[in-house]
Amino acid sequence: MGATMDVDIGGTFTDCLVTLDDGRTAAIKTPTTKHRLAAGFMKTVQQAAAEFDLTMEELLRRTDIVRYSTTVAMNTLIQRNGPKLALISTAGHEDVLRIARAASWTDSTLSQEIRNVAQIDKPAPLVERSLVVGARERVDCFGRVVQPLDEEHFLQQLRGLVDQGVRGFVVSLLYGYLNPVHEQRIRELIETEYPEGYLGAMPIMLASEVLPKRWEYTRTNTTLLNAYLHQAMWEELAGMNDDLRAQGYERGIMMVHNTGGMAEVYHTAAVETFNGGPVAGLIGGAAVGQKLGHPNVIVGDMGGTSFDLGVVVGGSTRTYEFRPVIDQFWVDMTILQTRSIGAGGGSIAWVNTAVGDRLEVGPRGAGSLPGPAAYGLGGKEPTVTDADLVLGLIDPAGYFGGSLQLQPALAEEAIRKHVAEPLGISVVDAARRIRRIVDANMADVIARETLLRGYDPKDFVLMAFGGAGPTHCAGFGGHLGISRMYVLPTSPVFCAWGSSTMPVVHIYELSRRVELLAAGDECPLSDYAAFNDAVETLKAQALRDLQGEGYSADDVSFSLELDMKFGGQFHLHRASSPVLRLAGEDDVKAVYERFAEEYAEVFSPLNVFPRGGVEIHNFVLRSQTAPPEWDLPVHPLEGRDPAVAQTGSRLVHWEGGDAVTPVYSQALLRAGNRLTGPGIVEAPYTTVVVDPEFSLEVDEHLNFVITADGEEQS
Amino acid sequence: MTANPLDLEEHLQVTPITISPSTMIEWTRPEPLSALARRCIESLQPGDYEIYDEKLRNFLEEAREVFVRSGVTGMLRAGDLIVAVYTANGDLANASAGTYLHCVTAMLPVKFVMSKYYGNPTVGVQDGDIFYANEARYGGIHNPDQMAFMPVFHGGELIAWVAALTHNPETGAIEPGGMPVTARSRHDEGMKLTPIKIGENFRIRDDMLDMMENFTSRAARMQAIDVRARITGCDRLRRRISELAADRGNDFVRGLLAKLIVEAEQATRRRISRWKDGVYRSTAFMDTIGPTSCLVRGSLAATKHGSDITFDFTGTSPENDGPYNCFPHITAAHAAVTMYAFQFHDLPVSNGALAPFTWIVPEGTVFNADPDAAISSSPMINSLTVSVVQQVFARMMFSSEDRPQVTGNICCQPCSPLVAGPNQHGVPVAELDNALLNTDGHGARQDRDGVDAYGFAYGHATRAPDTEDSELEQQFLRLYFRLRADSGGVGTFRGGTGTEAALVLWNVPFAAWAVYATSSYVPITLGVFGGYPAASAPGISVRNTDLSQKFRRGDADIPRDTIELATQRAIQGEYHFEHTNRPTRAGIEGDVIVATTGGGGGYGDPLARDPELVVQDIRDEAISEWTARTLHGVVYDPATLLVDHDATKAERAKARKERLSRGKPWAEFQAEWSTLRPAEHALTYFGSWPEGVANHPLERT
Repeated sequence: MGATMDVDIGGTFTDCLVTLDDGRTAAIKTPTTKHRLAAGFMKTVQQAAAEFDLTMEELLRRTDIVRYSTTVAMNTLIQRNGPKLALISTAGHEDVLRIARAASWTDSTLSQEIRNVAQIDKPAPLVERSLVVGARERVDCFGRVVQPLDEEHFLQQLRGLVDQGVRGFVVSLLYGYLNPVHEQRIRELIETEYPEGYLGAMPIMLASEVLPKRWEYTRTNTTLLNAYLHQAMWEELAGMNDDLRAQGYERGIMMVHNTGGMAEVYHTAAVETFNGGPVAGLIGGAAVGQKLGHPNVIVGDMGGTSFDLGVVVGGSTRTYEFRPVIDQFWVDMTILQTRSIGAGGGSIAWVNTAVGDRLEVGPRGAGSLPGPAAYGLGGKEPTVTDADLVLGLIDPAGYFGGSLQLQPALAEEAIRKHVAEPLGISVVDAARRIRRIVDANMADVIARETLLRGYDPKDFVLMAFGGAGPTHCAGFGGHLGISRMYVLPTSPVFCAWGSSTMPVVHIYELSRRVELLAAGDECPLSDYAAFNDAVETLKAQALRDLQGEGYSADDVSFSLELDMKFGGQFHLHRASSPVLRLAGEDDVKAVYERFAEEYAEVFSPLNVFPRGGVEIHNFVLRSQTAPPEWDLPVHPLEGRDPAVAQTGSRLVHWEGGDAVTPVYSQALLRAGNRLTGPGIVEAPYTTVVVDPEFSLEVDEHLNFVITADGEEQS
Repeated sequence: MTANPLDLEEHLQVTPITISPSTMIEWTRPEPLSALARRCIESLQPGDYEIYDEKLRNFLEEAREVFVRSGVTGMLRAGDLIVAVYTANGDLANASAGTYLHCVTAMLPVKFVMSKYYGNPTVGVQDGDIFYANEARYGGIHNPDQMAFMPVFHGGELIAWVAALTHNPETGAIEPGGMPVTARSRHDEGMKLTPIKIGENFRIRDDMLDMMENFTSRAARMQAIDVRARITGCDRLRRRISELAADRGNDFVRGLLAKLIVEAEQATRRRISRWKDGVYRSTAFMDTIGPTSCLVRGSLAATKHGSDITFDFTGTSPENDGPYNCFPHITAAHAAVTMYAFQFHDLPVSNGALAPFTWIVPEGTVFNADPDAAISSSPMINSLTVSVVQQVFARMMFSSEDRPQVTGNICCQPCSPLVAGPNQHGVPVAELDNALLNTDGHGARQDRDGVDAYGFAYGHATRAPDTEDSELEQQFLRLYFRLRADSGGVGTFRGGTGTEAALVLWNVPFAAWAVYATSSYVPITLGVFGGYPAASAPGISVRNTDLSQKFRRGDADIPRDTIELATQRAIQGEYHFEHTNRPTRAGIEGDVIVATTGGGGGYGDPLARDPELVVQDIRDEAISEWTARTLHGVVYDPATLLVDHDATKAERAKARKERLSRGKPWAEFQAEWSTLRPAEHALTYFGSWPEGVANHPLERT
């Protein structure tokens, strides 16, 4: 295998990890070039090549694979600069995007803001009302055509849309997922009127093809978002592809999907790339956990603006977003679950006078501009970073590799004015309280994510990354009673690194209502055709795509998940199916029992109610190639004493009192070193804080393992 | 605990349980702070309150999610629910609520149990007990709203209570659907459980479940699953509170819960203090009591003095022999809907916020009816409360820094069709069409329009199901489901529009259906400061139709909105135009039921609306051209929708002049106004005109 290149283009930084065939690595972090993402990316490649004493061309010629995750989809949405699209719905149902299941602001609003009813607003739909037309047709809930398509009427409306300057069509009709005959006919009509060879040809996306799943609001949103992002994504990727090829790269680009795998650009839908970075981090966490013997892992990325969280249970990342939202729009895709809260270094601390002078941290943040008060870029409000600085946890001269000189006086002033004086406490006490609260907030979100799935956070290890993650992990991990926290050598570019552990994965979904157990008598399903046909349909799609990517059927494994419920319930529970095919009553029973077991684990055995009937509504087939093979590098242990790595000491205002605290350099610490808190370890892009009553040990892979005193070390 | 035969005599001598409306309303306020609670508050360390209040909110959200994801009823999906934590004496400390109604009504049964059963040897309160209730006389709203509640013990001490409540649209009443329009007394309304223990040692008793399923046999499956869902949500919260006590101690939990209540009261009082003292009045009119169309008045005088407010509902119409009645605590609960969502949205959802309020609700009015009255439509009659409370707060807050929180009325004209019978899969269901119920319009603001298809009148963040979602389990097909033009009250800023739908009974030979709704003749949803009220709602149905044939032929004239349906009459059949509130009736496949929700109230003079916004409303089909021309006075080219600004200015000046010409001195106006009187048939249930005092006896069977 030649060199590999893993890239994560985030909103602030472009991270790149290059691994040569001889095992050497280069981790590069540069500011993201928003005007043209490829420019920033190529800069990281150039820097990596320089670290290996290679030219960029030499490096790219030796590179076998480029794996890429991005937030470009999100940026396009935020700026609302996508193409002018038309939506064709069933007549009488043209307002699906504006009705939006009523309280659509709750899909992207914090719970406290949801309560302020006077100030709520729905997200503006991506299609204007005048560009939504209704096709006269109707299919019912069994997929039967109730009313045939009125083609003449549709053609009249089509001309009206084109006259308004639309650049593409999304067709999303009621029950198109069960019977797409009208959607397909509409595409034929459009293509006949505006043939592909003409300049006026416009892309047409059918909801029944993009997401053949029940419920029109989420299906329409998904299809519309895909159409909306398609062009921008493609232009960005083509630019990157051109730049790489011009410099000698000859292979394809693999895109990280939010399903937890990756696929070639040519087999990637735009919406599948959304949130690719955090998902890559989650997969990386699972992979490291497996190597270290930890099946339960919490992956926490605390950056400047947010705290992103992912959870690995029993070595599996098989937990999906219950309500997946892209930008502000509810979609119904299978997206691996990650959580994000406004708790980063830039989160603002403020005193809420409405409720008894209560100190709050976030959710508002200072962003990177103006940023924390200590940046000296105009920020006046105190942030978590300001508190960390006042407490002595971070070095004003060494922040972000020394490229940004922090100003403690500004941090103190901001905390004094906005927190200490209103509360009548000292600046240091105010800073301590800010730190306690933000740590508790992060602990709460972790607790919720684990408890809701039926697990205790104490049974997990924590992997902390991001600029502020290692600074706070002992705080929020300690809150939860987590006994072991890791800061990895790849921490600065962990999401990029995570993509190197990913297999090629595709997920295929369709909705079919199959009654597994009948309501009342719990009679098991006896006609297996609907179940087996659904799986075979999905399998055929999977094989077609994988063969297109150069894989044979033998390279691929399949697994099936089913969205199921007890009869009458409305929310579906995703259960793993023990079989891909039903061949007898035992299989039916096995499918039910797996569902009941998983359901009871998450909710309660009290709620298991087969007498109500048991139904399958969605089939989700996952195809996957074998994951890449990799190993953690092993270093000889060099003794416990970290003295040679100590670069100095400084006064730190810990929660329990002030202490002159030794400061170490990450670069100088060796495998086997152990330091007892309090202590500080400085790294180019972060500061690792070892609170009193915690210890840090450097393991044979150069991971920092932080444990509470009394916990067993490795 | 069971009484043995030897105890029987003593048992029979136990004082009968009675509970008066005044006790119930008094219980809405927090109990006096005990010395223990005060000590526990004082022992909280700096930062504890902030950190653990957040943790408590997380517990509530977790329990809510478990509850929602394990239940059945569409109202649960919509968010018509509460998961709440109370102090040991039953005061609400905090909640995750989809509707704030239950901040009051899920609390009172807890207080009832503490008051009557806690020390009672035949009942008692033990760790692992599961209580259940759905009786309005004991604190609930109406019997479709069922709640589970459990004590939280730690170390043998009762430290808190938890509850989970949602609505089930089947109660075993004389009509399906839980809100029988023809009910004449409580005896027509089905299962009503006083607070009762249905489980012990963390186990549900099967005999209790069987009893409930027996009561609700039209939709027994729903009852069976949702009782479990309520208990599951409740128990998840109980476990978390108990774990917190194990971690930080019982006094810590007591202190945290008590502080939430104290902080909420203090913050509420601070806020009220910044509004102007005075008496603020509002009236609104209902045009039905269920089976009969008639006028009923809701009247409110709010006296604000310092940090206290007295709500006096004197002048409200007398109780009636339909189901449009309630008890005083239910009226308070409907006032709370507005208060927690607008005035005090940023405070803990605690009954500390109710401490500054005093309630005067005259006996014998629709808001303080006889205990035997039918009250299953109490949320409908309380549309009046929601309307007048919003109005008085709007005026109270207008001249304060809280003006951004002032809006035209959020729509208070809920509309909910119900369809019952075996569904297309052969399973008996009795379910509301929650798409309509949850897409009312939102009130206009001082700086922008209200939100279209906002949600449920009494919820603050409820969700509507998709058409495919409803049709998959319910026996109808929606011919259309769309925003309803001209439903929002016009103004400088427009009330959000509501929606309209035509349901076609489909895939079943027959079904029973009804519609719970108000305001066909008189809108309850009012505007503010010159903004118009929302539109009224027609009740249309078409029976014995030729729709199947029309569908098959693919006729081009199948209607796609209500105006088209009613005016073109392309569907052959018997057309019925009546009040939108319709009792249960039988229908056959192909019958069409039209239902419409209301818009929100407008804000400010419609002649002051930006003409460009008016033509945008036409483009968005939010208003008709008639409205643009007649109410907004906008002149534009109908083909291009370009505004003629000069002509608009002139048209508006003319309209203002006409207004002035209609002006009269106050005395003259009052003299003329006082002679007006509604038609006699409309006053059957109004009481005396204009006082609204009972003027004929009621007969209930």
